[in-house]
Amino acid sequence: MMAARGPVLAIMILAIAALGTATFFMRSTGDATTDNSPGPAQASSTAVATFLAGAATTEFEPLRGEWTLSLPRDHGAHLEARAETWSVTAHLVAATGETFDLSLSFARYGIIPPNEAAEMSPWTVSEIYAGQFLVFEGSEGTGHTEHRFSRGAGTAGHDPETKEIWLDEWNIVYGEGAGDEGIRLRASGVNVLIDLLLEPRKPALTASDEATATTRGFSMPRLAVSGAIRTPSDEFDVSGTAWLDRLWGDVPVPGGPIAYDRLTLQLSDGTDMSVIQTRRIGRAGAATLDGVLVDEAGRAAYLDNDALQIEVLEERRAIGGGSYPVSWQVRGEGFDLTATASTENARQEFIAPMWLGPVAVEGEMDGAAVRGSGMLLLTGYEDRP
Amino acid sequence: MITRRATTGLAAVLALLLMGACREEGETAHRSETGLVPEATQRPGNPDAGYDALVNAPYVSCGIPYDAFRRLSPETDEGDLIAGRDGLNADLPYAFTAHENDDGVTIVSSNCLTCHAAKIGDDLIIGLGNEFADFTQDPRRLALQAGTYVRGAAETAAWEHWADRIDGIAPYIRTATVGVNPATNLTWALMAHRDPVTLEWSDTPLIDPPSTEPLPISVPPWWNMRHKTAMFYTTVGRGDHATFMLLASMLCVENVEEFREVDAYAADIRAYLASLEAPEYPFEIDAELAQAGAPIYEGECAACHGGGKGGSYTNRVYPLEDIGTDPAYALAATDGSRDRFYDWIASSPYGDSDSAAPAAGYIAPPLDGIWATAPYLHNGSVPNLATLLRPDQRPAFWHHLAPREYDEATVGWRHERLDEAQAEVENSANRRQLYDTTLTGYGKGGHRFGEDLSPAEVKQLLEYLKML
Repeated sequence: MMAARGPVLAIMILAIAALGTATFFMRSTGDATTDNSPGPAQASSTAVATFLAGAATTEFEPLRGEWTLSLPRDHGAHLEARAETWSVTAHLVAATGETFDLSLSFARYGIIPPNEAAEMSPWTVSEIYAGQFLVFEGSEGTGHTEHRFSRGAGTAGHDPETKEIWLDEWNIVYGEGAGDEGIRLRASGVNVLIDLLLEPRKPALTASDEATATTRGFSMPRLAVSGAIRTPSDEFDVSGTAWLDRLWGDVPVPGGPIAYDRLTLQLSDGTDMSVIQTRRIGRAGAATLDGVLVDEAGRAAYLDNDALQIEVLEERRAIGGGSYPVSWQVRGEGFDLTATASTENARQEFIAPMWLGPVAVEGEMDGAAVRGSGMLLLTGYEDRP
Repeated sequence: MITRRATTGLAAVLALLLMGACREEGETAHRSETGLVPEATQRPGNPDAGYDALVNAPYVSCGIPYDAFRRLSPETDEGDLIAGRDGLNADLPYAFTAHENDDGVTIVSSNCLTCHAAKIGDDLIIGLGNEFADFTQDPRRLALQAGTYVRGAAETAAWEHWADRIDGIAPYIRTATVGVNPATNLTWALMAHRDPVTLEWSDTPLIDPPSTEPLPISVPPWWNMRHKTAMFYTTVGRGDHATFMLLASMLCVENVEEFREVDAYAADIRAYLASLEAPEYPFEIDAELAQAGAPIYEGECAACHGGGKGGSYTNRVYPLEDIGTDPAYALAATDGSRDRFYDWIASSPYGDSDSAAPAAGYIAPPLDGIWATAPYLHNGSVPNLATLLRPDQRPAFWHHLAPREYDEATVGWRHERLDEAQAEVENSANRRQLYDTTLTGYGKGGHRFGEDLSPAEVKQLLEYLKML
């Protein structure tokens, strides 16, 4: 049975918001190809944590009033919001057959509300940018990880004229592609560089429809991806699919008693799916499920606990600690899908540790066999003291 | 988005219960005969102090940390503010009360007004049952949402205290339809999780919990408390009403000492409730029609419901075979399946062996302000008074229409007759709004009194009822 759009999206947006911020507090560990050097990374994370602790108490006015999605404008920054995130997962294949799964996320945290910052020195830290870039290469899921932090002041920022959000040499340019609703992504790590055009193939899903929403956003469940990925050994022309989440508003900072898991799937029959499990950390209690299933034509069905069943197929002890449910079976009316972890270790750690890694999907959708790719993000499974 | 919907739901979950109990001269323990309900002495109280306690005191002592509450619900509508509130409460919606717990965390809890206050037009009427609260959702979902913004050890401990309780009661309080209330089942669920002597909470039930399919009730108006000698439809609540009402604080109470603290002002709250009078009908009344309706009322209604406004009221329970309304609620109260809960009350500070004593029937309530209390019957199965008086025309499937508007002609909220049962409706949001009178406990039958009245007489009677 389907659930109502409003409540499911309401839960999803909070969950995505929490996940979004958590994503920016991590770095990869136990990964031979990790680009980070522990010393500076740890130092910068501490500094960022200090700033964000301040940001958490900053008095940003809550968002008010009705809003309706406006593209491409809402791809851009919303300075009135305390925080905002841009998150993309993509599943790509090269003309020569190589496969890549990637996750690229940007976040902007307001430290000082814009009306106050305008009267201060340009060197005052009024906002912080964070970015995180993961690429899993090949069927073994060899990982490349990179993260960035910036205090803005030219090294990171946003420009509505050029329709660009940037963080060092990484950037998102919006208003691209057919219909001007697409985005172009450029990001790099020591061992990988991407330059991709993403064009929506389905209508955006808006997440808030009430005047009192304090967190707003939208998802694009399927974008067609084309572009290039460069590694030390080669350059690949790639194509594939992506899922985009955008959020702005009162995005919670990491921490607290709630954990979220998120599975995002893109299937060979054109279906896209997102499932969020919300749990209490370290407590039995109930978990809630909220999902959206978007068919090839872009029609969305919202699913809750009555319409979704999840069974954990594999728990894996991660290098670095924690036991993660890395492979899931997802069932509901008309679908039965197996999402199997396709990388050995995807535990990420910065301030908030988590698992974030690709899955390979097989199963049935409306009686027909389907395959696909996805990304699984797991939080709150770490060893508790 | 999340904000108002979530907090409204949370309020509904938190504030639910209000029960009463005691027993009487029935030959079986925990049972009363149908017929006259004898008077029970009530503790005296100060109505003004009672109002102050009702809208300011932390009788529901667990809830959402204030900071997290304000992140979810940053603003309060002007229309949701009420007079006589102190400190933070002055800026909170009427259904929420703030207080500081022993760890220094300010907590926001739902209060009695979540279920016992409602608006007609822009006017908030304290004591009017909320017939639009949504208990169809899993409250654990809302508790998890509320936890999103909880930070720090003290806030987390406070939130977990509340979330644990929500986990405990969640399986027992989901109704099939938006608007009906599961308060009774919630009360039984809380008893199942508490030691009756110490009131200590147990995460696992200590006695068999109630059904996971609560029988629906319509929230009765508080202003009838001034007339009634027992509480609730089956008159299960006998004896000291004030203490019995404190089952409302049982969601969070940790020990007998905490119970005593609240009980100290319970009589004041009861005195305030007993001081309430029905609201005046806010629209125009056709005096001539109403006058013509007066003798019809005397002939059709007064024998059971009393003599109208200012008239005498006889507290009488009518057996199921006489009233004919959906029997599930009264049968469940008297078939022995709830005796363990009545025993619990007898062992607890909330009552004694005479406290919980339902009769196998339904009380005929006073009709003060009956125009305001749609939908009708104990389960809210009949959308308005016009259809109540035309039993064969009552809709089997219906829902309220949005926006909410009062229909003066039919005396009730605008509704729409539907063709499908809940089971046939795929969309869960639409399904939950649908009142399906074929579900157990949701029946629309019985109370056929007045069915032989002519259309003109019905019109006259409806106009008279607006005056009560």
